[in-house]
Amino acid sequence: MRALEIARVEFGNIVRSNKFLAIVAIFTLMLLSGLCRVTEPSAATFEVPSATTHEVERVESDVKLGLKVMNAIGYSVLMLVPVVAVMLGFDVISGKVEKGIVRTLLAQPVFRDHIIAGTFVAGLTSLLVGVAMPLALSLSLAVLLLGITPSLADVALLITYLGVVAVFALAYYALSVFFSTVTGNSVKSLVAGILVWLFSSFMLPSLSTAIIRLLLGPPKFEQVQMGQMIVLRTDPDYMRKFTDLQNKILSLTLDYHFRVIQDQLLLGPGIKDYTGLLVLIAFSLATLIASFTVFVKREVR
Amino acid sequence: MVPPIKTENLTKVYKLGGKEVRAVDGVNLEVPKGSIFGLLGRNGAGKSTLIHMLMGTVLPTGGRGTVLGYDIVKESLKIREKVGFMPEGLGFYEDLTAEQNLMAIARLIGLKKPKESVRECLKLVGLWEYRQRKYGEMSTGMRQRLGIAQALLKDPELLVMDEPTSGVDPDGAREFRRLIQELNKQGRTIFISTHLLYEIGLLFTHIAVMRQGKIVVQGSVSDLKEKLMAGQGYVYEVELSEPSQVIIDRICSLNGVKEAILEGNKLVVLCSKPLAPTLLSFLKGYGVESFRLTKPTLEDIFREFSG
Repeated sequence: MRALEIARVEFGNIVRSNKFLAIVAIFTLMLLSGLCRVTEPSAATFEVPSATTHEVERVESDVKLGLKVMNAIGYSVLMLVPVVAVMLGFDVISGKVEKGIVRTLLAQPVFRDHIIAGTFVAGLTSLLVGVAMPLALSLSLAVLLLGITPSLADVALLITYLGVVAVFALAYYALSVFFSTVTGNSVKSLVAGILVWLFSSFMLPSLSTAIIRLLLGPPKFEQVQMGQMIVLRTDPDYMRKFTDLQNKILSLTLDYHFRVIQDQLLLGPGIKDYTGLLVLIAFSLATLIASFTVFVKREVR
Repeated sequence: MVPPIKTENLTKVYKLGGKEVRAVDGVNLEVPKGSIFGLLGRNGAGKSTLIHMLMGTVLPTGGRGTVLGYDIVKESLKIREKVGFMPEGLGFYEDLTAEQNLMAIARLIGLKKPKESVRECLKLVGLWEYRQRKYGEMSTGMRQRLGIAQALLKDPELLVMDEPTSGVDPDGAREFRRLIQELNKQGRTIFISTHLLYEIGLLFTHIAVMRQGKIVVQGSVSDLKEKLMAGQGYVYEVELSEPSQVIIDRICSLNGVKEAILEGNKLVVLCSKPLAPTLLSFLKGYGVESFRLTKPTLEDIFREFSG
């Protein structure tokens, strides 16, 4: 009960903060911009000469609205969500220690595990609200301002997508909370979180290519006859090994697992392989448990 | 009657970089009921560690202790239910108002009438008119008063405060002294740790001085002053209308007089024992205008024992 009371207060404090409002605003704008973009003429249109009037009709391809939105915002989500999660989590514990809130709470009849459990509940709830609110807001605005009426299937797809985004955000949030707990310093925690994100999103993809080249040697080519021309094509066996190795290296990052799920959703039939999702959930749980243990064992000095 | 705070050989050893640091070293402390007890010591003397052990937020390595009769290891939750504790450097949620912060704590400790208690405490510390102000927008003095308010929410018979006046301006310190006196008059025992003597030193009825994790001296302020005078000597200041160098030699020949100095018309006599009646009768013929025993201050005690 004490943990829930702490969670209630924490949640109240988080949702009143400018940081949280800014995050909700950013997400809402991102989703709304995705919805706006689907009103543009689609690139996948084709022209059909009318049999009777010899006029040309433009026929929109039958792509789901939900998929279009995901397509429009997919890259931004992959780039922004980790930053947002790090921003939400970097001072969750260290900030409380630095501001003396932990001391005030420990002056009451509560144990350290009450404090961290309450903090987790509040953080996760605010993360869920931070994802759900923009969805509700942007869909409402799209209906009201853009005249777009999403079907139930579109809404279901977007909810699934945002659920996956929430799990991805949770993984980065948990990592950020872990840094916050271990360092006990908000600046160090923020720097660590941002470094992990930079490494996962930008450095490792480039580094992986160099590592694979070192392991496999330079690419091998084979000559292929194409009509009158002879073209050079990378050896399929080399390419397969290259892709396998790259996937193995990138699977060390959280971004990779999210991208795998996102790609499955974008291809249409829904999520078939849940490995990525399970990895993200397992990672989140492991880091949250680690943070819990570190925090509970630490004494006030 | 169980004293509000009692420790026996209480010890805390930290391991820092492979080295053992005895932050608190065999402390025996007894705080009398109804006192304003000052735990004095320089920074790093071990005061905060001792307080955190008393409140159960740090586990002792050895020894034992009770607060309001509750064991500091086994019943720490009970202690924090009953004792108003204001730790050093405490803080609140910045985006919540003073009232919201106190309400949160009132609910956390399970008060039956949280609204009434919060209102009462805010009025007592003079923050009622600022109750809607966010903590992030409050001055240091107001924050300190909110800290006291949260400690008072439990209506405690014992208040424990760790460095409560650090960072507070002189007006704030004066207000703090007034409040402490008022709370003490209500029958509450108040235990304050500080190294800032000039701000709240006058309040203390009892003190303990800590040095390198040990309590080097403790007792009532008046007893300790006596003790210090007995150790260092009794200093008498006498103003004379007819001072003369001859007095010095004569007075020094008196049994118990260690030294005598004449500064203008003021004679300063250092004695190893109380000699007021002897000195007065001896100086009768020299036109004594004033005669007083210079008592040591709390700062003298602190300086003598804190090293």
